[in-house]
Amino acid sequence: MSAEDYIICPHCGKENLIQATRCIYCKESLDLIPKAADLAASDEDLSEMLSAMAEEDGDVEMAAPAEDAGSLMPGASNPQPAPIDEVGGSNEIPSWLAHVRQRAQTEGDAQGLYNRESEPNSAQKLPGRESLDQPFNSWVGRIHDSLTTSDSSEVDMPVEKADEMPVWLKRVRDLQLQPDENTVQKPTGVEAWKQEWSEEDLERLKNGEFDEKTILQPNLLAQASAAETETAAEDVQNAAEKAGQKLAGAGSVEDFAEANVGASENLAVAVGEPTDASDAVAEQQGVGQHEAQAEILKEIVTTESLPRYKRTEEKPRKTDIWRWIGILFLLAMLVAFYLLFLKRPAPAPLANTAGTAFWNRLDSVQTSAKVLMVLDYQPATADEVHGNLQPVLARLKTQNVQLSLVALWPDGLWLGRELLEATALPLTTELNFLPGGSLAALASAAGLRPAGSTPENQTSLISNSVALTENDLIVYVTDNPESAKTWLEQVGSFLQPEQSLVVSTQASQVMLQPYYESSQIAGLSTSPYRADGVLLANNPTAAATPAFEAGMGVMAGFLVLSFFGRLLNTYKKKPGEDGKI
Amino acid sequence: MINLDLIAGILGLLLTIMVFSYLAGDNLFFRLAMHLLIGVGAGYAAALLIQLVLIPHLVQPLLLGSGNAFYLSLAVCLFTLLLLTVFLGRFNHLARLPLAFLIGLIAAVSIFGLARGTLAPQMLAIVNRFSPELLYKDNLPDWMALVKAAAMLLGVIAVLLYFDHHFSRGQNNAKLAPLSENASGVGRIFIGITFGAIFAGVFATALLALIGRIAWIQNLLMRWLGY
Repeated sequence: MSAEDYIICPHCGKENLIQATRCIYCKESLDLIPKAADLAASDEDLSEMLSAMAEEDGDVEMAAPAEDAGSLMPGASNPQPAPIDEVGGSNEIPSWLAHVRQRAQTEGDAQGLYNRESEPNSAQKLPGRESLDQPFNSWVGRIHDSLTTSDSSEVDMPVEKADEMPVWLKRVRDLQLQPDENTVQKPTGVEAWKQEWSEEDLERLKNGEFDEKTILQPNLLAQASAAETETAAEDVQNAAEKAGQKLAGAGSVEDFAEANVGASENLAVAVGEPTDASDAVAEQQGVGQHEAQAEILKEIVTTESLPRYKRTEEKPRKTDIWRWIGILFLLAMLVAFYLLFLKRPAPAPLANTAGTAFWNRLDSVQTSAKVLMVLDYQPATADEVHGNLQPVLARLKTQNVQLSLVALWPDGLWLGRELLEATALPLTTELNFLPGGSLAALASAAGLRPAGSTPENQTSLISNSVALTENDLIVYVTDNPESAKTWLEQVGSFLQPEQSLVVSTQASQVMLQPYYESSQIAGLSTSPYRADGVLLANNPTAAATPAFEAGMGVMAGFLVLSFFGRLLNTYKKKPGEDGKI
Repeated sequence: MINLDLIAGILGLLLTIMVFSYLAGDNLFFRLAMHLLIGVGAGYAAALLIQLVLIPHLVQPLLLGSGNAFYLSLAVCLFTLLLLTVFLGRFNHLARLPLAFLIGLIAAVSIFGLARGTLAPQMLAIVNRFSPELLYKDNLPDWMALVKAAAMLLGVIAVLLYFDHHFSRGQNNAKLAPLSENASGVGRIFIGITFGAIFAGVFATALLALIGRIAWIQNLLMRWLGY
């Protein structure tokens, strides 16, 4: 990441990401700082803007502050970097470092590590650039003056607005370890340099044989520079101490001046290379900070990617007395209704055209007709389905039809066997399992055979007829309206409407009635009664009619009670307590 | 001599009571009964599928068949093996091939069936409700049939407008005509009636299942007591 990807906070001087709107360290606003990318992007429009400003302000007014504003531009007031020989002195730095600096000065570096200060100056040498930069510096200077003199309410971030900090940044800061407590002590400076570089590499680097363009990293250069700076600073301090000692021992002005010469020379070594050493140190600090942030982010990602097992604390279970009261009330009501209305004759159901059509079609079945019964229901609803189906089977038994059963689920095999036993039909009645559900039924309706059928192994889907359509009547038994819809959608178009009958549960009545209305099925039965209210068979569901009515009555009572309870709770609350009243 | 009916009755009674214990909250006995139900069901289905599907429709044609039956079974076997590669971490992408085939086939069949088996016939049924044969009875207008047909048409349009209104309300700056607003309110009434009827049916089915189990327990106890 290059240095251009950062912006320097004008308040604390630290680097921030270019996308940041506030300084990550001092929380000051960064919005008003012109970013390098923005300046570069707006370079083409700059001449037009400045021309407009020049027309607005006038030539005299624009030229006047140019000298002052020029000092605000980076590099404008800084001196030109001195040649290496003049700054450092070839005797004070290693020859390999001088070589590196020489290469950087002559060839330039992409990172701008060493030539950062010289770039604006080199750019100023372009023809016509000077006329452009002078009004630009004036413009920037006026912006800076207006910001520093005006009320800084927009720039200063109030403490209360710290809550607007992004969540991820808060978490990073919370997880940031204190350096004196948990920071892992890593080698820095020369020690890190020695760890990362082998002796051979250093030797090759000293001899100028090392290809630093491809191998040498900018941060290593920065570390090297930092190490040299530290050494130079120590030398300066030692020289100052020695000079002080000499001064104390000399006691004359001449002796003091003589002693100060060495210190000044050493000081010049350290101070005279601000362009490379100080930048390298800043770069090293910035890289170190970002490495630390990257480590923290990596830790967050690692932590969050781990599976979390939320430990649920076992709360002491309260005795829910109302639950038990409700259960007891339900059972008591069931028993009471069952006993009270046990001997009452079952009421006739409402007239149902679909039911009437169902029984009319069933009565019209000829003797020895092929009738197929498709079982597509679950054991949980077997009581109701069998109650509805037993009168149908009894009727077919009297008509002496060729009955065969096919189950779409494995459970259907023993459910079908149980059904045959309950209706006293011969157990030799054909009962097969059709794998594949409605898709297999579709294949059968289309006259297809299973993939594995061979002449030696004639395993058709439904054995008493090769194709589904060859049956005179198909009774589809289901407890799920969606399954019935799928069946009718896939198979219905291959069948004549008078070929299809459906036996289902009361829950499916509403959803299947439209298919009878659209004449896609010949009839629909969802109860053991005929449409005229005659009970067709003595089955468990019909015997339990009082209990069924009792249950429906209890449920209706619960619904009314819950309605009034909710109403009471609503009005017990004060207006506005829950924001609704 | 062990009476199997007695053992089966006791087991059935215990399992029924274990399932009913859910009324007092989730507990160990209810979970045990559920695990038993799922385990026994899966084992029964697996055994049945091996016996009735895999052996006669896959294994036998591969071993004994010839011609088209053999090659078709080979293709099915290949797809099955590809599906099993889902357990192999390195080659699990091969399992996408049979899955894609199945999902694509089911999607195509479902869409075609939905259009052919539900959408078109239901729309035609609404239109046919206004046919003169149904609206006239003994050369006189059958007003009840006319009201029924109009109510059906109104219900369909109102429900469609309700869903259109419901989804348009989520969009910004969506303004609906007052007529559309009122019609969508009527649609809500139709939907409420439908859901109420479905709820009553579901409750009736559940209640019948409960009654069936209670009646079974009652019969069992009466038989043991000699009544």
